[in-house]
Amino acid sequence: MESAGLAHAFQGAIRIERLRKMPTQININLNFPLNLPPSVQPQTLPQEIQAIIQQILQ
Amino acid sequence: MAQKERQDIIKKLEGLRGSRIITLVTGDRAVAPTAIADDCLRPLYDHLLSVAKDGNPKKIDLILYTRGGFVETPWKIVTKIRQFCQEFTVIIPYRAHSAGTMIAIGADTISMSPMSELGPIDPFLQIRPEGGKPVPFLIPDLGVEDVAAYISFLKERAGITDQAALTNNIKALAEHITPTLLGRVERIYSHIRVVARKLLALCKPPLAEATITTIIEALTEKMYAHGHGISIDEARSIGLRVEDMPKDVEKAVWNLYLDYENSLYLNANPDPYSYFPNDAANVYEEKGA
Repeated sequence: MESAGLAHAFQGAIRIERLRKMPTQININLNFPLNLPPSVQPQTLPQEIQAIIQQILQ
Repeated sequence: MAQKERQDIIKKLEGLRGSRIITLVTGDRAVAPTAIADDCLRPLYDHLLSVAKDGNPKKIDLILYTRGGFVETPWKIVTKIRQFCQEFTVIIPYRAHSAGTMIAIGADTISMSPMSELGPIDPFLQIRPEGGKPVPFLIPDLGVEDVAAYISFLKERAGITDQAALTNNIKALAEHITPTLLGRVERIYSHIRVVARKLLALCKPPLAEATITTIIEALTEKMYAHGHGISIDEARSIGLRVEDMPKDVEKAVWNLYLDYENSLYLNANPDPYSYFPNDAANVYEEKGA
């Protein structure tokens, strides 16, 4: 509010907070193009090797 | 522009109009909106004493920019200003909506430019549930005219004339709005019309009673949307006493408005996310807003 000899202003403070909502548990699926050579059959691999490949894929 | 330059414009305008001038601006920056309320009455009195220090001026002009406010305040502003002058004009550079329009209709003359806007004076009830918890069936802003419009809709559009059917439909309304709230709606519905009539009755020379009724109907129920902007031609067509702002006055008033617009960030981006241009911070703080 102003007139020729006087001015009044109301002042305040602004605070804006950005809230991010993150999911509690994150599930990510990744697909790796991991191919065995055509001459190798996965079933013929020893159990330990199969388990390691499975771990990598997971 | 500093306060000194703004005051120079005010003095220039006083010379052009042969009046004393007071400006009233309530900022409508999206993140920090303000409104016409009783807290402006004390400073207003200081300004009135200042402009009347050498005796009451013949004319006082109020340069007004606002998007509205409390319905009780306009009457208090208008009657206080009128204690200090014989002629009262409201000058509108841009927006004088809602409670701002109520102040304007209490003036002898409303000075408008092609950019000026008045607005409907149909009030909204702001509903603040106790404990801050939202009540699911209540909308936060209830248009007082919406309730009257619902009953008009039942009768006129839906063609329901049977008393029992009307009662059932009004019962449905009462399921969403408590009886006490409906009572408040009725009180405000009547209050706004009484105050508008009292404000218009202050005009000098007096307006015809039929003109007053036409203006009240137009501003309360005939606009149908609270956000409607009433231009100078429309204001004149509903019977308001409007003058075309002279070009030299219009230019000075607009320069004054532009400074308020700049100082109060009225054109700032309304999107709160715009205050976070990157991920560096999640808090924006501004003092002296």
